[in-house]
This record gives sequence, structure tokens and C-alpha cells, in this order.
Amino acid sequence: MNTTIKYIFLTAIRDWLFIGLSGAILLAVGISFFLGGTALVEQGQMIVVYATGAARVILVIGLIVFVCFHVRRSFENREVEVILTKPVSRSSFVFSYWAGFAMLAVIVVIPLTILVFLMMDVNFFGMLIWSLSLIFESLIVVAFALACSLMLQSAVSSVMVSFGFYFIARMMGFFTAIIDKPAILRDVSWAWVMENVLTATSIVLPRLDLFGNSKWLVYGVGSDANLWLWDSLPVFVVQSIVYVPLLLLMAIFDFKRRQF
Amino acid sequence: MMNKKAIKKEYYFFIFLFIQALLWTQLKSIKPDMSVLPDLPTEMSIKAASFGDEQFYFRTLAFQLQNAGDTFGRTTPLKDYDYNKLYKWFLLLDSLDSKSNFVPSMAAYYYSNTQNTPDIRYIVDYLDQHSDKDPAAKWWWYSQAIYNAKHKLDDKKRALEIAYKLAAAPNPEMPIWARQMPAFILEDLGEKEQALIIARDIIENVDDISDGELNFMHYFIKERLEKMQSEEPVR
Repeated sequence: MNTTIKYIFLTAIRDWLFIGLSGAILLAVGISFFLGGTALVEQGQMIVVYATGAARVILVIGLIVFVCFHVRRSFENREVEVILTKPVSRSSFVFSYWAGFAMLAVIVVIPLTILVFLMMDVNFFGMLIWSLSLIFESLIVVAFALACSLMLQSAVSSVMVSFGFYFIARMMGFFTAIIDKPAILRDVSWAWVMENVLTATSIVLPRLDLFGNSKWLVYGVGSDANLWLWDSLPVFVVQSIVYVPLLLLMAIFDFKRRQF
Repeated sequence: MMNKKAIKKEYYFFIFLFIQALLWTQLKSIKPDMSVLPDLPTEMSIKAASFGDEQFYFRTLAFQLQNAGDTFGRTTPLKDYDYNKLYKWFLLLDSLDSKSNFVPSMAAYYYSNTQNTPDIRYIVDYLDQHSDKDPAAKWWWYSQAIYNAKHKLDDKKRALEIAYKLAAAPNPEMPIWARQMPAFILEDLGEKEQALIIARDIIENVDDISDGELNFMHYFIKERLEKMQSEEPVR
């Protein structure tokens, strides 16, 4: 497992993942300083929200693209077959790949958090929660991208499906609000179909809208009732503990049936 | 020497170039949306478009509203803005984040400077509604609403309505002039007796009043009493 993690780390360096992500995030931070500085008031909050919001999207897009293309290339170069000739079970192969990609996410989030803390005026506890939730969000995204690239034959399709998953999962709060207020669908023909589709989707997809909220950086987490589950556990931790194994088990189930 | 097929291909190129030029005559009238204020989305659609990070979307829309009408190298005088639409934009942004002072600042310090005075009632209404959500923290915007209603809109009755709310805001840190505000406006309205009662009520019920404020209020009461006595009809 350690060898696989080290291998993924080396390929990330080889593919300039860290340099690319850091460059894009720094550029976004620079633009945020420029845009935020032109705000009438609350320039500091503007900068924080723009910079961290953009950094989150850049991180997720970067990880999805890297994971999908890395896994497909490993199949095409027959690296996967070489690894599987060694005494490695398919389950531990999937798990160690995910652990390697997850480590990459952590490596990017930690300096980002330090950068935000040093350069911007943020609520300290809110920043810790935001960083933690960004790591957990990355764990889910990486697990989904890995599952997709193990199941689908094309890297481009895996990237597209992962993007779709991410954006729909971030809209889950809106979907559940629609289900709770059927009056919104009143004018839609076949509203009951729509309602059932939304209900089914919301059952199987995670609530990523409860992750990485930049409001925590500006106002802290005190007033956010949606953050805690059973008044003690951050909802994003519980969601990740449930969803990451679900995705990895799905990937293992498919991968075990694959013929080489 | 070019053969016939090559010449035909060149003809096709010129035909499509000609068609493109014809298409241009139809497309040139389609311009980007240059309306002063963007169309108002619904509350549900902004919730969807925020992708779970409402704060990010709030800041984006607020920034867009700050620059509305002054994009594409143009500047628009405030009298040309649709203030009813602007008022709805303010309320919509409040539904995303009512804690921020960005929107009330924009309304009170920028959009209130319109040349079309009747439009200021939208600013007054918005500032009043914004402060209603948390009077203790947002009392300052009541004071701005009062200033706009009294001095710009010249609607003292509306200013008085808001002044009562300001005076009742449950914030012990609030300066004493905020509690005195109804007295000042009643005085302007000629209701000297009412103004006097409010000033006396503050002296009796507010503990932490500085000596300077106390002197001023004693002077205020004394002066009103003298005026009232001099105005009283001789029996």
C-alpha cells in the first residue's frame, strides 16, 4: 500500500499537479484581491469569499481531472496489470489508490489553509472547520472519480460524469427544498415524476452543499444550525464516513469482476 | 496549373464567405444585454445557482449590483435606475445574507444619492426592513433610514415611525442620541410635549448617561418647558 501511495505521489509531481494547482489557486487569490479591493465596503470579506470559493472549485476540478486521466493511463500502459501480478488483492488495490489520491488532496489543502490564515482576515475556528470540510469533500470527490475511472472505459467520460456528480451533489440542498415544497412544481407537467426522481436522486447522492461553506470563514460557525448532526458531530464528517466506503465498495465490486 | 476540382473548392470557399457576410447583416442587430439593472432571478433559482455556497453567490451578486449600469465603458445617472427593481434586488440579496452590511451600505451611501427624490422611499423602506431582521445589531441602518426619510424625502412621519423602532432597539451599547431620535423628530413636527416626555423618559430609565449628555437633556427639557409656557394662552 505504501508503495502505491508513493507511486501516486511521484506521478503527481511528474504531472505537475501541485505546481498547476498552486499556480491556479494563487492566480485566483490574486484576482480575488483585485476584485475584493474594488468593493464599496467589506473588502476583506469579499476577498476571503472569492479566494476560498475559487480555490475549492480549482482543487476539485484539478483532482477529478488528475484521478481520471491517471487511472485510465495506468490501464493503457498496463501498469494496473503489473501491480495485480504482485500479491495485492483487488480490494487493497482500490483502497490504496484512493488513499494515495486522498493524500494529494490533503497536501494541497494544508498550505491553502495556511495561506488563507496568513493573508486574510478570517474567523479562526470557522477556517479550521472550512479546511476540514474541504478535505472531506475532496475525499468523496476522489473516491467518485476513482470509481468512475475504474468502471468507465474513457477518461473524458469519467471526468464528465464526475463533474456532473459534483455539481448535482452541491445542488442537493436545493433539490430537497423542492421536494419539501411541492407547490414549486405545481406548474410543471408530470410534477409527481419530477418529485420522485428528485427524491430518488437525493437518497443516493451526498449532500455536498453542506461542505466548504465560505460563510463559516466570514461569520464563524456559531450561527450555522445545519453544520451539526445530533448537536455534536459535523455533518460533513458523518456524510463522508458513510459515502466514501459506499463508493469504494462500488468500485471494488466492479473491479473484482473485471477480466484482464 | 489548377485543375477544375480545385477551382470548384475555391468557389465553395467564396460562397460560404458570402453567406457569412449575409448572416452578419442579420446578427449585427443582436447586442449584449445592456439594461441598467440585471433581471431579477427568483429566490429558488439563486439557491440553485449558488451550488451550496450561498455566501459566495451573495458576494458575486452584490458586486454585480454595485457595478450595475456602469459596465461596458458607460456610466448611468442614478435617476435612470429602476428603484423598484433595485429595492427587490436588495431584498433578494438579504435572503442570501442578511448579516452583511454590504447591501445596506450600498443603499444608504450610494443609491440614496439619486437625483429623483421620490425614489428614496425605496431606500428608506429597504433600510427599515433590513434593520427589522436584527434591530440590536442593525440599529445603524435605522438611523440612515431616518436621515433619508427626514432630510431627503422630507417625510417626517415616516422618519418618526422608524425613530421609535430605533429608540426601542435592544442594544445597551447604542449611543444615547439613538434613543433621543423620536424626541428630535417630534420637535420638528411641532409635538413639543411629546418630545419632552421622551427626553424625560430617557433620563429616568437609562442608567449610563454621560454628564455632557445629561446637561444637554436638562437643557432640552428646560427650553421646551419655557417655550410651552410662553406659548400657553393667557387666561
